[in-house]
Amino acid sequence: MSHLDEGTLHALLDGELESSEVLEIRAHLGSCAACGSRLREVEEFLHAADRLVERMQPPKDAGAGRVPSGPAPVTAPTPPPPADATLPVKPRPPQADTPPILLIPDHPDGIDRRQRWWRRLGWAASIAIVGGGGYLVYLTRSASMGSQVAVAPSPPGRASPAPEAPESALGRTDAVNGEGAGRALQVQPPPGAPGENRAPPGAGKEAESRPSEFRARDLGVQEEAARALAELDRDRRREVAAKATATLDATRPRRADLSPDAVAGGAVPSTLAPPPAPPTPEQRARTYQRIGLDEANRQLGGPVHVIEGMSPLFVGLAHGSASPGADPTRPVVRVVYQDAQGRLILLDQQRVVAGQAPAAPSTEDPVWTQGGVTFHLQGEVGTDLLQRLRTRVR
Amino acid sequence: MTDNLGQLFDQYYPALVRMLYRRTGDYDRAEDLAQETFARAVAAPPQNPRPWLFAVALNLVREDGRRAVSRGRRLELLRGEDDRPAPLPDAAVERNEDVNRIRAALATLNDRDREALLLKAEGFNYEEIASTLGLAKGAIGTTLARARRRLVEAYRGQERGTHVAS
Repeated sequence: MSHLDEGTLHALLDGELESSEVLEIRAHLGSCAACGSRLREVEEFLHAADRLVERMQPPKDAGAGRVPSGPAPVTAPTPPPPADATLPVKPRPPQADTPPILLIPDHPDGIDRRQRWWRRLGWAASIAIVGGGGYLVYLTRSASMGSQVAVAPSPPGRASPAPEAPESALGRTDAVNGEGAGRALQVQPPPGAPGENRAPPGAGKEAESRPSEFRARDLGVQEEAARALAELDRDRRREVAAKATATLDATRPRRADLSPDAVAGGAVPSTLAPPPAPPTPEQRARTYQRIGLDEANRQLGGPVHVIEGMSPLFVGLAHGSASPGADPTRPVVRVVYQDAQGRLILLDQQRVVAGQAPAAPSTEDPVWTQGGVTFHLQGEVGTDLLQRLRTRVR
Repeated sequence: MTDNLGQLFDQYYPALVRMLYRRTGDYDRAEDLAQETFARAVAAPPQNPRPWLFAVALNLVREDGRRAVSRGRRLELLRGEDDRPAPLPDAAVERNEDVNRIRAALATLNDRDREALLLKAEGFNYEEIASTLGLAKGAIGTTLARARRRLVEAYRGQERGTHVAS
């Protein structure tokens, strides 16, 4: 028999050989020192390796919270060692782990499990959204009903208790009465009034004991009622103010009498003289209508003329009688400028019609006719400036 | 069906988790893989459960390892952006230098030798190891001989390196 290979020796030590093979190997080992020595070496490696693997035990605290204690696990029966007592018997490692409780999954496929869980979560979210939306609609309708009833004044002899209790605010459908509204006005001041949010005595504890939605609804009813009553109060104030104004107009001096001298002399109370509103540019320019360039071109039968280097404030129509040299029966196109000091400069233009006499030059205002158009340049500036500006009319 | 599965679970779950822990070094991962193994057993009850369970578990380890490699590549990219060290998976195990050396020595073995050694440590005989790993029974002795020798030599080599270094 040839020398024993290492695999055979391991199989021998592992008890994996048949009895006949063991006898044959035993006979060889008795006559072969090399194989005997090798057997001891293999035995050393075998035990060393098994000890190393055995030291790789799972941590004792690992999974402690997952699996309870139980009986020792059942391991497969190990083949008995060879009958030869001279062969070493490998000690079997103790199986110290405990079997946990079997947690059988609902479904073998983890993906299906997760999908089912997500579907359930989706259904739960949908139910929550629908339920929450319905509850919000209910709250909104309840608040609007409460505000409508709260706007209606209380019957005679009864103060308006609408903000006090939700059931009274919602269930009250009594007839409208102005006197009751007046009382309600005293009970519930309008928003912004002093003591607006002042609660009646003992109402604080009562409000705290109510559910939050009732308190919120109460607050909405109070605000609606306050707004409605403030509107009624405003109408009453207007009525009173109109009466007072009518009385005052009978004793008020006419505007023509409100001269500065009269006011300064104490003849008229200064508080009665309203401050004069500043004139608008149109009033200052004495135009009765603003027009665009298209309309100005149509009025002139050609392009409107402008002062070179200046930007017009606007273009308007003025009465011809207000422009020297123009036909007083027809309007003039007035191009209005404003200089840096706020002074107005007016460039009037009017198309000359057949039979119309040319404009006579004025000593004060520059008037001239050019290209079938009569011009008149005037303004709140000096004559010298007007003369210079005339040269820039294009 | 449920009773049979319960018996299988009671009988093989601890050994399966232990083998998977020795194979992966991560107890949580070992438990997850064991649960997944039994989930597959529910779907397709095996005729010979013990080799079947361990074979499925080892296949899951290999698949998980391949996914972990790709994850590791991505993590390497992320680690380049973040210099903070990643937390250790199991601090208790990492503190045990001896277990680390054993695991490192075990990592020097190829998959077949390593798995044969772990199955043998779980009480598998040569026929069951062969059935589980798809090998011939006659090759198991040689496989185990090579695995044991390499494991011990690698471990002793690490010990010598540690002593020389210290």
